[in-house]
Amino acid sequence: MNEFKLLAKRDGWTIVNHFLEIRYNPKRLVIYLLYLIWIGSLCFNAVLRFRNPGEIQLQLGPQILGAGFLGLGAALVLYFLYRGTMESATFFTMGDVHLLFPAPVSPKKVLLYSMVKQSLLYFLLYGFVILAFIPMITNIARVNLQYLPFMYLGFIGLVLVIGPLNFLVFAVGSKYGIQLRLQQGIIALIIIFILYLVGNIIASGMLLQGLLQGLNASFLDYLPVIGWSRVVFMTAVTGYSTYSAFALGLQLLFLICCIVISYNTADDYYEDTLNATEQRSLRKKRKAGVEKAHSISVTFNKRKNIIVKKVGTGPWAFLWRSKVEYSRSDLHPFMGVWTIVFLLAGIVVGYFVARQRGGIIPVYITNGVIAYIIFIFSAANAGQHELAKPYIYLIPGSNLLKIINSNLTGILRMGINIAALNIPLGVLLHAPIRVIVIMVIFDVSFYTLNLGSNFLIRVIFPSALDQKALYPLFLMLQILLLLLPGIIVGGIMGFVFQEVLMAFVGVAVVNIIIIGVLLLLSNVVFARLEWK
Amino acid sequence: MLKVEHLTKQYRNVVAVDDISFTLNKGDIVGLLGPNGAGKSTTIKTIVGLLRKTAGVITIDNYPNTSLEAKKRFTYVPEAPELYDMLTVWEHLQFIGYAYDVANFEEKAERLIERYDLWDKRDILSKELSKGMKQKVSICCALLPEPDLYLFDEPMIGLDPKSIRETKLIFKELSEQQKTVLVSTHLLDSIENLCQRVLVMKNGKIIVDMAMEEMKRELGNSENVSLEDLFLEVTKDE
Repeated sequence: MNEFKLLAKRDGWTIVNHFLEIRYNPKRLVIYLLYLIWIGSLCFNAVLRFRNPGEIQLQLGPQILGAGFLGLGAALVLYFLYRGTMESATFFTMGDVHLLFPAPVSPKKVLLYSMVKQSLLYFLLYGFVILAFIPMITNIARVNLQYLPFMYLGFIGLVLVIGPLNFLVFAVGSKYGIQLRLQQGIIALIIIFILYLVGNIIASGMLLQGLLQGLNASFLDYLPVIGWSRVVFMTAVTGYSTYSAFALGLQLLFLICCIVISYNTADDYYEDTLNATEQRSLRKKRKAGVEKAHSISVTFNKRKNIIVKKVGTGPWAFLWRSKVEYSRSDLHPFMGVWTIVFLLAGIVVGYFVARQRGGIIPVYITNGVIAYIIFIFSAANAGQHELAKPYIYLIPGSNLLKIINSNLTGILRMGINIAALNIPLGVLLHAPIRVIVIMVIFDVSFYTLNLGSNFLIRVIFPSALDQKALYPLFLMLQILLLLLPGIIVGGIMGFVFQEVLMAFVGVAVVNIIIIGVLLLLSNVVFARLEWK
Repeated sequence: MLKVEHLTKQYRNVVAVDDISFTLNKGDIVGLLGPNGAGKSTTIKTIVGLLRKTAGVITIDNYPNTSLEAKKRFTYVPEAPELYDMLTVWEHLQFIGYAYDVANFEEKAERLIERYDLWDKRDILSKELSKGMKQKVSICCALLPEPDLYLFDEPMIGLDPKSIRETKLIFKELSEQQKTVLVSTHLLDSIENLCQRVLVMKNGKIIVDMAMEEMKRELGNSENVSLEDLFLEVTKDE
């Protein structure tokens, strides 16, 4: 059978089975329905705002959007180019590795088919992503709906190029033995880009203005891939010009060239894609709750023997284990690369804010945003890694101590990171020490809140599918039950004492009370926990 | 049938397979044994073409192992089978039937899934199968094209006793049909009476390449000497 026909047949069966699965398992429809409602509500909100554009939309909006797109696009492309010097992209599944790769099917044709298939799939799927982003975009700038397809094509043009470009860099690098040279070239590009931005910031004397000026420079529109896709994307905001269509054509041509060159270069690429394919398969299994997630993100992998003193028996073993893991994977059990990032962020934000207007309001804003991010992100996966392993169910000891010990190092690390941000920020903005202390407690209380509440979620919805399907519902429930009491009490305290800091104190106190209640419930919760 | 000459496979600074050579002739059933990390799976994956050889030559019926002509002549069962999640058992066999251009594949596939008790699972998606069931599907996929060379990497792990017996029977039938089988396994007793020859690997090298009888003779020729005893004897640290 013709190779392309064979692969198309396989994908045809897969598509049919997806539809059949929905019929046999209508629960999946709940997932799609909830997400559609969520996106729909965001779009509805966007339409309301679209009718009443704010001041920022009319003045700085296009600049912010253009700069944001180019900045993120450049970061994405440079990151994947760099990664391409070490690891190939993949267009395959483990099923392909075990069934298709050993079969008498031309590897070149397999690659060409898979690349084109992924491009088409992304072309359709990322429509939902841009749909989810449209509310945010319309909040920033006025969008001409007539040119909305250009906005999508600009975005998708960037997304589609990344995989083939990454694959090509790896294929060329390994085929001609020039990986190191390519790596050096890409690092040089990254340095030039950063220096260019720093130069603009210094020249303008202001962080935001410098970044906006630098990233909106018109010559960047001629940069391959990033510049072209920005021009196409911004057509919906700045209006149509001949260059919009030309840039779109160039982007398409670039994608075709990447695929054609990859096709001609790749004779023996199976091994190159193995690692990335395995990783992709593992991520998929983790999402489905089949594989156990990593307990921590690995920055380093120090193979040397890690010596951590015994901290106790029973549940205390969890504390020892997490200290060993962090010691091996990061700079220190309680400090890591993120501590440096937070510290630098505190210094940079503090320095520029102090130069412009000063005051401690930016301290409150920064910590409010951080608390929100912590809440949203830790809601998704907090505690899952420990619950996915059998030890928390098997090791004898108090359930309360098990929860505390398995989370203590993470909480301490979060506290240190937040302190690393707030100390320079507070010092540069002349904030009193009590403000800094309260901010640290405030942010950490949000982190801890989710660690506790996720044990409860696991009891209420033990199935991974339920958890996935009802994630938006969890989030709403968590906001109602965990976030709202704090906000109400904080609001009242802020109003009564006429001080913003007291609002933060109120929220932190309520969070701590809820954490206490959740910990006291640990025995009830543990009795109902199941290892999946 | 299969000729491996001075094969070396190196990952950065680690030499996983170190200059090994062996030949498998038609009708050979050869066990590839060795402790964990000896390089067995790497050797098989390199023969299959999933890994690139650092040095050496691999030919199958005189064709380079990665050529399409060579691939028509062998099939492979991986140690941890991964199938297409959204294809049913029957569709996997159909896919293999088309990929290898198997004549009368339906008749052959039906026979195989009956032998491995998969008949009632034929319309089930592979993602809903247990690990053992996936292994059975993987074995069926490897057997369906009826090639000249079979490469099995830990085929019996996860199989129930009936399927293990069925697989052993199939090995015997393959030998009678003058097919060549290279099987890597830790379940020594399961291949003891099947293999005519064993290759024992340790630290990336082949330390023993002998016929079973010859090996037994060298170790005292006692009736009580089992393959496990032989294996432990030859792989023990100096």
